[in-house]
Amino acid sequence: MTQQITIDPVTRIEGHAKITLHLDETGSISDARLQVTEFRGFERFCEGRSFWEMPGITSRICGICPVSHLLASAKAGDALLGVQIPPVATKLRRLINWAQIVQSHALSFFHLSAPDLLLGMESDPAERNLIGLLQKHPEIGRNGIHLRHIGQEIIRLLGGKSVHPSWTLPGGVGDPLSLEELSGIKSMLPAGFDIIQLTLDLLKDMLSKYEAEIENYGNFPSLFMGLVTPDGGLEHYDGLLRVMDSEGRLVEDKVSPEDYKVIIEEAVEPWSYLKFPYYKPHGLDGLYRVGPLARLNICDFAGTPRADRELRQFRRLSSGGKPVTSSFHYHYARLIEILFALEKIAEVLEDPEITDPHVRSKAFVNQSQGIGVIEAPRGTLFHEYHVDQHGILQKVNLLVATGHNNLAMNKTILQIARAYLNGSTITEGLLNRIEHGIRVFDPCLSCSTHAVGQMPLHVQVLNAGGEVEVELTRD
Amino acid sequence: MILLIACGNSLRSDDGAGLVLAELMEKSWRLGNWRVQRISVRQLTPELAELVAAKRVTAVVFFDSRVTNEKQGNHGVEVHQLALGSSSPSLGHHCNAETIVLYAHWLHGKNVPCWKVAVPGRDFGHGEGLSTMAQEAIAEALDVADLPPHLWLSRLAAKTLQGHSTTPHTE
Repeated sequence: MTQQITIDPVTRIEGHAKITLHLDETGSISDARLQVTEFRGFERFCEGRSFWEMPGITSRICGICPVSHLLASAKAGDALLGVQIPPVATKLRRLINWAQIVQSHALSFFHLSAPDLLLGMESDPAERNLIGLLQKHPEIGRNGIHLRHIGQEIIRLLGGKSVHPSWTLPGGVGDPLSLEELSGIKSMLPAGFDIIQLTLDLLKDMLSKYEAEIENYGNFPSLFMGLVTPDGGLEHYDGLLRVMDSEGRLVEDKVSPEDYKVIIEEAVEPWSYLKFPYYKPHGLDGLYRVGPLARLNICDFAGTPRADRELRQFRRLSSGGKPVTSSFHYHYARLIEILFALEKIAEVLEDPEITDPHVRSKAFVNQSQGIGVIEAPRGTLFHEYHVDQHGILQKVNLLVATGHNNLAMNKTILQIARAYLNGSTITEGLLNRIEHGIRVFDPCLSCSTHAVGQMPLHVQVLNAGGEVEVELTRD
Repeated sequence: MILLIACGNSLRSDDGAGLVLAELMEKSWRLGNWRVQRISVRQLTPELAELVAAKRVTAVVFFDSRVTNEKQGNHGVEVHQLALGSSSPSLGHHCNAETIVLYAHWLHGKNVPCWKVAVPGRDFGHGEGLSTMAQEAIAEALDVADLPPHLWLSRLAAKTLQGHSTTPHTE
């Protein structure tokens, strides 16, 4: 008798999803699916709008990573205008992007995943949350809230508000950085450095307790994709696409991001609104991962002293200089990226040009197609716009970070379910482990499906005839 | 110092009503020489707990709007004092005032009087400006704006309780 177990919704992730486990006649897991149940349709309803509006519109896709959409959209707009933006505008865009990395990664680690890591994967759900964390580990909870506050405050100083700022636009940014704002940002950095170093040390000390999770949470060979600098360094704003396999071989290198469709195709399944991008030359076997783990794997170096030191230590997790393959180490990679971002913020604030008032290039529409690519906290983000001569959108394609990881997330759920399912007993601990397997990817499902919606929370076990055998509810 | 945290979107009609009332009460209380600081946000986020937990904060008042319609009773501004135990520890899309207060308590042991002030609204569509219902509720609340903050809050809280106990609940 085939059974199906469903977890709906998945908790402590951004967005709405359910997980379905299929059992075969022997009670073994035969398949597992992450089903994204939201649909929003940004790609469709943006047709007919002006491309000038797109940064403001697309930033509303998400309240966690609006800056990523602002930047990708503005870059697509730069391409439509055919302009090179002023150097200081590039530096300021990078600055807000690094701040976004800090706040988004801090949210993911401290608010969404730390309760599992510090309170136990199978601890009581009533306590396995941020309040539980604040009660048992108040300093860590305090640090998490403050670190995110630093990132959000930098975004607010630059963009006017921390959620959905409207400061980046085609051609550059809206306003230059004032000396007062610069001073305000600088004053926050020492606390940020203290917190991230403490947290890195804490996580590294904890890793020995998580050998089983490291082995079973999305630990499999895959490709890794992301942007790198022209000389192979860690990159979040610009650069060239690189794809590496799990042996460390470069499969693609120095690919112009505008040519992404040469190497990436999107498949569709009827049971999820989230598409399945894959590496085209490998067909549907072309599973690849993006985001912090991928970025640290594909880069030759970070480019800042402390992050490079941490990166060298991180790379010792695998042998022979090969990529780190366990998705559990997304947590570790995320913390290194926070450190990198803080170092880059400190560095750019010392640039004498950073307060230059010339922050925008102006032009009319000169190209009918524009592609903007950025490394969002969760991975590579593409905005592709096609416009008419008036700049009115005819077609929009958004390929979002979490979508790239869709195949990997599904494979991770299957791996975890097979490792931890004991007979046919479904425990709360198992459900949370499976959810954590999704959380390591820090998925932003509102972004990746351009969707909104709500599903009632229930778990169903279906037999081969499709009849409900067991129904469980999780609040 | 009394911290006013106003939450809402002024481009979604009555959703901005809390922002309006907070600004007016800030002006009124400052005229009365009360130490007041106002923050306006689109949504409540956990980082606000740090502001709530600041040493100089002696009370916190959250301003927001609430959904109602002509058929339901009690079209006045509703005021409730927040209790620590009434909050959820969950952090999802929506972080509410109670959760912020709880975070502040567990972060820094903060435990000061906290209130929630909700202006009634019936139109949350796109647009600027407030409905007549929201405007009238604000005007009524401003009638006693010259009261000290704790008396203003207590007066409206008592009226809220009275409104709930006498108005039949209608769907």
